[in-house]
Amino acid sequence: MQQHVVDPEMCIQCSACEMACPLKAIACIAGRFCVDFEKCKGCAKCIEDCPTAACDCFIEVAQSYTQMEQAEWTVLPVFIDQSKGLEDEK
Amino acid sequence: METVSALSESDRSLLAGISEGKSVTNLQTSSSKYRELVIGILLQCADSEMAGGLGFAAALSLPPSLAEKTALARIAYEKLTLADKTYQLAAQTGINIDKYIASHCWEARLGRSAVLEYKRISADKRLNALHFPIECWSDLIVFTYMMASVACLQLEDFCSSSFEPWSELASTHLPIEKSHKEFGLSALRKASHSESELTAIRLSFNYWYEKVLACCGPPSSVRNALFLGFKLKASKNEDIAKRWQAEMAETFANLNVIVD
Repeated sequence: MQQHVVDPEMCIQCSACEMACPLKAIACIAGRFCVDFEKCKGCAKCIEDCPTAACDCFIEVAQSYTQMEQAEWTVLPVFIDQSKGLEDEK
Repeated sequence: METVSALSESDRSLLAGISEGKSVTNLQTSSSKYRELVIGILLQCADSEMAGGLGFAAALSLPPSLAEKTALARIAYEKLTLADKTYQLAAQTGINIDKYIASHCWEARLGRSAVLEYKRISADKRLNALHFPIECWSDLIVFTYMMASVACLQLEDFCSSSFEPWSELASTHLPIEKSHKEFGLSALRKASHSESELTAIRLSFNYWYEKVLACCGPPSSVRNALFLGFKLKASKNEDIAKRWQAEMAETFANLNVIVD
């Protein structure tokens, strides 16, 4: 399945995504903007307002990442941790 | 300012400082809204130079003479260099520029008949006219002259930006953009002596005019009000558009492209 996330390498911590989200699905945790998988309905308002396209990011996962897990990312998880990625499905 | 109520405390504090004449030298220590606005400007400029430079590189077969091909190759190189310098400044925000550049398809263009006006259609931030394809030599020189004119007006505006590193960079970009505008204008003067070329130029003028005009931005823009408030821009979109229209009217009347 696909999970909408914010790419930490593209994010400038401007909070435009958090302000744009009508469902309050994006929160700033430890300086990282993290998307709540359960709340996000993919309306793309955050993508429209993001100045760097950091929000225009969807990753394939076998199991969704929590916001607390996303807060620890410095790069997208495919590069740092494949435990929830599709690698597990093989 | 219409949107000031939506600003955070740090945004308001920075806004007050800037209105007293203070400038910003480091984006990391500025407010979140200021960072968002600055990165928007930097990426729009850099992405436009990037898409423009690569568009010109793909059009090197269009100029009729070797001298003009060489000049166009130089312009393509300079546009990519301007893009590079602007991306390096944007990197101050922590964004991974190599990944950003690799994430977008800079050569991509829409069909000739697409209608965009102010609508954004790509994740990159290039000006909308750069989504349309150049088809012939007259197209290329009309487009170059029109777009470089818009770029010059916008860069002149950025020279007094409250973000100091950008105002300094914009002032170094300005003479280079002026030389691109001059290339377009001298090619237009040369081509307009031939009646058949003049007809082609008129068709290109009609095709590009509204598309390039839209690059000045929508009138009464709320976002532009924020740019003005933070002194990131000095002019309203509609004022830039009026100046550009006056310049185009004079130039193209002198070339007999538009007739009263």
